[in-house]
Amino acid sequence: MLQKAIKKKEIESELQKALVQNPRIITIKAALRDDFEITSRVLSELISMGYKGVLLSAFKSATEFMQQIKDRGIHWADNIMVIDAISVSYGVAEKGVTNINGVDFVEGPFSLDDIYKCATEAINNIKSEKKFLFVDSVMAFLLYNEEKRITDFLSKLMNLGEKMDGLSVLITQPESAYVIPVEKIKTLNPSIEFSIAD
Amino acid sequence: MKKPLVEEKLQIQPMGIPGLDSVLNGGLVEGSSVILSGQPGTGKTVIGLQWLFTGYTKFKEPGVYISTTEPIASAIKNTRTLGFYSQSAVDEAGVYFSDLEILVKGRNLEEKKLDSKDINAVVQAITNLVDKLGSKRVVFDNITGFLYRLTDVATARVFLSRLIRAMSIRNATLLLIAERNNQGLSVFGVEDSVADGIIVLNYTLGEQSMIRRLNVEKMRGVSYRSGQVIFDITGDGVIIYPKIPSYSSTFKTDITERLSSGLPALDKMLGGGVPYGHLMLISGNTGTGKTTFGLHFLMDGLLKGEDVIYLTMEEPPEQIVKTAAEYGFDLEKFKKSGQLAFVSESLLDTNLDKLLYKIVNAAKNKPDTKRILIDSISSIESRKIPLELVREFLVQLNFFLKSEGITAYVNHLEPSLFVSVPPQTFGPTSATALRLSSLVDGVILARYIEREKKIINVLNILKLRGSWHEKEIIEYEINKKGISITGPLNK
Repeated sequence: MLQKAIKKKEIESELQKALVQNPRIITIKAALRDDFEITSRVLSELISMGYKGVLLSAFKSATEFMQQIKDRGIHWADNIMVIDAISVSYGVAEKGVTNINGVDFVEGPFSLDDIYKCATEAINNIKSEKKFLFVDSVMAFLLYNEEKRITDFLSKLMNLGEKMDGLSVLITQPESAYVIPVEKIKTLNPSIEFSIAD
Repeated sequence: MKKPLVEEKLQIQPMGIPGLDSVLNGGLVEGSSVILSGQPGTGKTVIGLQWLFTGYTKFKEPGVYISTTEPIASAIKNTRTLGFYSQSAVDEAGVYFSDLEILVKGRNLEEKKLDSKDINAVVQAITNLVDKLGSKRVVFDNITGFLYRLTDVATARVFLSRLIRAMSIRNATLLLIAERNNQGLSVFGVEDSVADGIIVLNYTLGEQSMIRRLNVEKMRGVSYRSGQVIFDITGDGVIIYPKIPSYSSTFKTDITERLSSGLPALDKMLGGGVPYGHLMLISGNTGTGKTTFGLHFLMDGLLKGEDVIYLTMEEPPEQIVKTAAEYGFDLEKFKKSGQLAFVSESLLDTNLDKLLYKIVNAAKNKPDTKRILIDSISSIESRKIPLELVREFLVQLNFFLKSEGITAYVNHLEPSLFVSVPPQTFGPTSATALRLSSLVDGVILARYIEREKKIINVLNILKLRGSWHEKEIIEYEINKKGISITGPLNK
């Protein structure tokens, strides 16, 4: 595993360098306050590099990400499918009723089986040689689930990355009072771990 | 060495809500549980949210808001318009919004009565959340709605005890938002007995606005100021107007040091000016120039670079600036520079604690404040406020001003001082029902008399505590330059 401490301003360039090696799993550690910005920047960079993929979001809603990416001048289109695990629980969307192109709403961050099912379907439907599966974030999922459930859930996602050609799995791990140390997740063997500082 | 069972010193956690920490003598005890209750619309949720946001933005203490009724999105939406809202606090999970139902996932809490197994799951879920976020402040909104969903009162008691204990051992302070029944009692009767503190909110309808009151009924382990205090919900959140404690610090009054009244002839009559820290009453009928005397006094301070306060009860500051300009007093300039601070209050729903708070706040914001004009005490007296409360207000104000070394002019309308029937030269000079003369240090009487088909303005100094003063009656006139003292009354 390559552990790399980088500055915030270097995210795009370091991500470009890393993706050349076709890494299976990338973990991104950053301060909680930077999570939204960093996730948006990474997504924007992935789209710019021709990647298509799935975002599992449990901290910010799909519409917030869409707006953020749009503000960066990046064309969202059909490059990203979002599994939004927050909008229904926040009362801004209704499962099975709210219809936004490119977004699947699940009931809440606790609906891990639903999230996994939607994610695998979505990733299988993407026709691209360069795919990504982005989990934002470990901490957000942990707030609503027992540690063991999250460990299993992440392990299953990692396996997808191992099995599927051309798929990179990205996971953000905001630094907070409580996150699972990466080593604790059995099958998680990140190719690269970025620790982002100011 | 064995650890003591009880820590000797309780850690006080400031609430960060203006005025409330004064009422609580510093704040809440860290790790305590407090019921915040009241009728709908009293501002319970706003106080809870303000406590969380200020806790994070000011004290870097993460907090969590657990909703049992309102969708999270609408709680956030309603808070966004208030001044204390901080988007970065939400983005950083410094203030984290959570829906209880989501938190205890899949148990369908909405659909059935909750038994002891369910309440364990709820306490466990909240505890996990607090652990993961490192929360120091927790708002549960609202506990009454949640307790209704429990099978019986005994389960309610167990739930509350477990939740309170779980938060206490984590040193997370818990604010339980609750409702009150028509008798002012908690709905289940168990909430009040298990919590460490109780804060009750209520309101009455004023003539123009809602008058909100807050009362700390109980707070274990710490002292607090009892009695109802008034509060407002403003665009910046809640402001509480605590009663100002009677100041026991040494008065800074000094009769050897004098401040000019702005009128050299009057200064001479006062033996050199207004004694430093004194409260001078200017009493007179309408049109006798009380406000103009006050303007001379303030302008003298402003021109010497002092900070001053103008408390206006009758006219808006803009009107006063305009009136002053007619005498050549450029108040606008000093208002802009910040040397002059206006304090004003609604004509209809005046509250004296609030008024006092505003004055104290204005003076604290400008520690070099040397003078204040209160224009006028009669407008307070004339409202639907018991005279004893007005007197109490003046006593507190007097203590405060003296301990801060602020010299005051207090205008008072005295209609009975208008007489026009010879041979009685002057009307009665008795003290009003407020017994003002004993509260103030000096009294200047401004009166009219009728002589040879003319109305003449006269003044005399009735009292000047501890100091010589002129006894003679003096004539004055009000002209384009303000007050002009013309000389002794020509009999």
